[in-house]
Amino acid sequence: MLRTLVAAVVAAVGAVTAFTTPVAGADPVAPQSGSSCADNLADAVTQLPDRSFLSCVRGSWTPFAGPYVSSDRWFSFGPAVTLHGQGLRNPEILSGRWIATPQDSGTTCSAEQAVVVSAGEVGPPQTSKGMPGQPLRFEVLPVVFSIELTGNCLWERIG
Amino acid sequence: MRAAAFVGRVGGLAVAFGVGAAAVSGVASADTPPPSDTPSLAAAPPPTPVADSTTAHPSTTHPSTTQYFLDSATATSKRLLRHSHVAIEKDVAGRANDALSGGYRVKDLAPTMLPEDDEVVATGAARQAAPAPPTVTRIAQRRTMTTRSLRRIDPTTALASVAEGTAESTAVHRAETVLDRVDAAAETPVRRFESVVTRAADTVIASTRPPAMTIHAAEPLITSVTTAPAMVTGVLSGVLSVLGLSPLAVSSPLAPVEPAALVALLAWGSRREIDQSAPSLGPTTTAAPAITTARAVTPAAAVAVPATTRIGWITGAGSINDTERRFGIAGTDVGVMWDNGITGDNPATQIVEQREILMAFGDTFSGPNMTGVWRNNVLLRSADGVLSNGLYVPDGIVHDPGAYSGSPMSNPNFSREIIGKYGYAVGPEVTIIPTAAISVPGAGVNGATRQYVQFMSVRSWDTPGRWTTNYSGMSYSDDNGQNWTVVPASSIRPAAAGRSTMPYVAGNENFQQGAFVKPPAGSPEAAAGWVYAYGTPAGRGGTVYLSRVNQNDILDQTKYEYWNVSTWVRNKPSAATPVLPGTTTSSFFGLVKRTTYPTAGEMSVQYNPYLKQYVMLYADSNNNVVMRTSPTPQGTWSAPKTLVTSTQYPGLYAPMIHPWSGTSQLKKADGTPEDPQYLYWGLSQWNEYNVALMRTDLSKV
Repeated sequence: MLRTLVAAVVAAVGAVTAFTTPVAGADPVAPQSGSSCADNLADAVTQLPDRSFLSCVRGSWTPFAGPYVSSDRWFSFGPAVTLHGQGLRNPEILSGRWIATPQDSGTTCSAEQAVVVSAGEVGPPQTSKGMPGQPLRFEVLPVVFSIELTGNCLWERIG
Repeated sequence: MRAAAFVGRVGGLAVAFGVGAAAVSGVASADTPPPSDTPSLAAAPPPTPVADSTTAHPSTTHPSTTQYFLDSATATSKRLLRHSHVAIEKDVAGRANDALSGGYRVKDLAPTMLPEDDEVVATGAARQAAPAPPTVTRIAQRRTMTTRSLRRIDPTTALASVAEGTAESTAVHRAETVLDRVDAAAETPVRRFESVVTRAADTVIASTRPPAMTIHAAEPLITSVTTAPAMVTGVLSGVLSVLGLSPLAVSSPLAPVEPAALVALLAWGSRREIDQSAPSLGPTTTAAPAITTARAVTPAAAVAVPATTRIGWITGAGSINDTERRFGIAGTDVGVMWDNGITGDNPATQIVEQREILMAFGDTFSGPNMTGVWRNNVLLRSADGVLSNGLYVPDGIVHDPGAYSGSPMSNPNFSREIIGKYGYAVGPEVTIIPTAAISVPGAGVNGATRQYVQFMSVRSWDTPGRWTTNYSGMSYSDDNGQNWTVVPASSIRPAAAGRSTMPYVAGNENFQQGAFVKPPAGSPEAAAGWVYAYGTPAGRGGTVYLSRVNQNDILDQTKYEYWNVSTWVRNKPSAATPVLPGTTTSSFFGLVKRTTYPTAGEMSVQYNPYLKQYVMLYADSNNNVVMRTSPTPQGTWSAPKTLVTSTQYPGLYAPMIHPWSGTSQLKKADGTPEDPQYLYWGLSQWNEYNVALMRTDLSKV
């Protein structure tokens, strides 16, 4: 009897949680070369699942020019954008203060970074996660080996 | 008239190469190494970087002598299988080459590229250089060599070598391995054929870029933008774009070119025509006024006749060495090359020495896209004297007692890190990257030839092309690069105060990366034992400085002398002055003069017997590989000549000269001497994150 009651309460709480928590919508469509990009994404760079890069130039997504991809403005459209920091040659993202701005009210911006703790050794990942629809301020650490940016978010270096 | 000839030639080319073009038109992305079919090693536990020591293995773990010879017999079977495999490859490669006229032949598997025995100490260099005997003869030779090697090796050592592979030393496991090889041999021809097609197409495309790149290379390397050259460049870009060729601007994205091979063939024809006229374009592109800036600048590079081609990849899954599978190297860079200095077998040692090229690489990853197991550096060895078809690295031997196999390894098919961290850094230290190396016969213990590697301790990687070092230092090996010892204080050069446990000495910031070079044999400098050590600051934004030291004092920085334009100054790094010609400009009615010097990224220097000059390669401020020559190490260095551009090879860096270039060490595939004018060198590319073998015809530069 008690077990049934507990199960019912748990189920009810779960149902309430499910209905009240903002559910992130489906991932936005992946940018494609030549497709349009919003004005607020000007000069932002994004990474496609095949690890190629597009930059938002004059309102359209354009293949990144040059062999060394690096930017102070990154756009993640949902799937993780995986970048190298200053723990590797030709970093794609530089250390410093960054802000991630959700591009829809339901999205949560999250950054998971792993730093080089000594020559050739990478430490455990550290996660910075925002609230749904809320900007995330965080620090890209000095010698990041890799960082994953997830959510439909614009990431900007602010210092 | 020239135009008519040009059109006719293009037409002829189109007909002549039509079949070949059709064959390769589907591989427009040849620059990308073919995807590996080898599972990533990312999930594998990192091998423990254990230094090799043949005395570190308790005898109680040694298998019996019977077991050893059983293994040897199995190994012989493996070799026979491998040779069958090689024969299949040769057949496929030959057909592929026949189909791809105009492309470079892939390694034709002359005896020089047959893998060395992986069960015994490697063999002599003389055999590498010998004309190609039939495969069967080669096997017979190997058996003889095996016997000799076993005789030469101390039985304890030999047993130790077997004990190293205890995990796979049972007969059952060997049988499984043999079966695996059979399966692999059956599958390999298909993969190799794909690889052959890709590489050949790659070479065709790489060697058929339009002349635009060369023209661009002639632009002044001044930070200020000038209108006239920009207009010329723009017009030419437009014309080329209409024709479907690549734009000129380095920073512009490379438009897809399809069908690649057809366009490449046409471009090749047109390039040859325009190349002949290229010098006349020089004044147009060098007419910009010289404007002095705060940053170092490079004088305009002369337009060079395209004489450089990519022979093939040295590293990577798609390379001739299949390093992802054989060495756990899916991605790596730099590849400093040096002669190990061994001119013959030393009867006083237990092993059979041979002359080889050693190659020290930087950050190395077992998986693609810099994933998997990360090593700060690895070493590959090669006695391959036939480079026209690639640079082959023989198999590595786990804990190789002879130390002449393809690579120092502590796990099968997995190269281990050679230079670790040694506690001299204060603060962050992300990696240890080799930047220069040299060998000195007789400098090691018991008269061994000693190998020296200069490395940089990287504090952080900054914006592309820039980085910060803690210090540079030296490490040495007396066993052909198998085990390395870092020198205590005497070689550590902090880049700034507070970055190392050792004190900073002014001027050492200019010797964070380097290049060693020996004077030619027979010269007074060689007789005096001088070794020249170039230096640059960390990154690619600094210029070149020079020091020298007696070859017996390489480890002691207090014994170095520094070139200060007119003389050598002992033990004072700050006395060193730039050795490349600078550009002096004046302002304020001539009252203020400023001299700026060319920047040099990841240089290498060798004495070239063909030119009878010292040759220096580096990436300039436009990230093009340029060459300078000089009769002496200190100069006067010639104006730079562009060998390849970053448009041709995006993300290029670290041009490392193969030290056998121009020497009798190199042979053609048929065993005759290699043409002495060929300069072979390694080149890293960022996107591929691997090292390729390049060749420049110095007679055309």
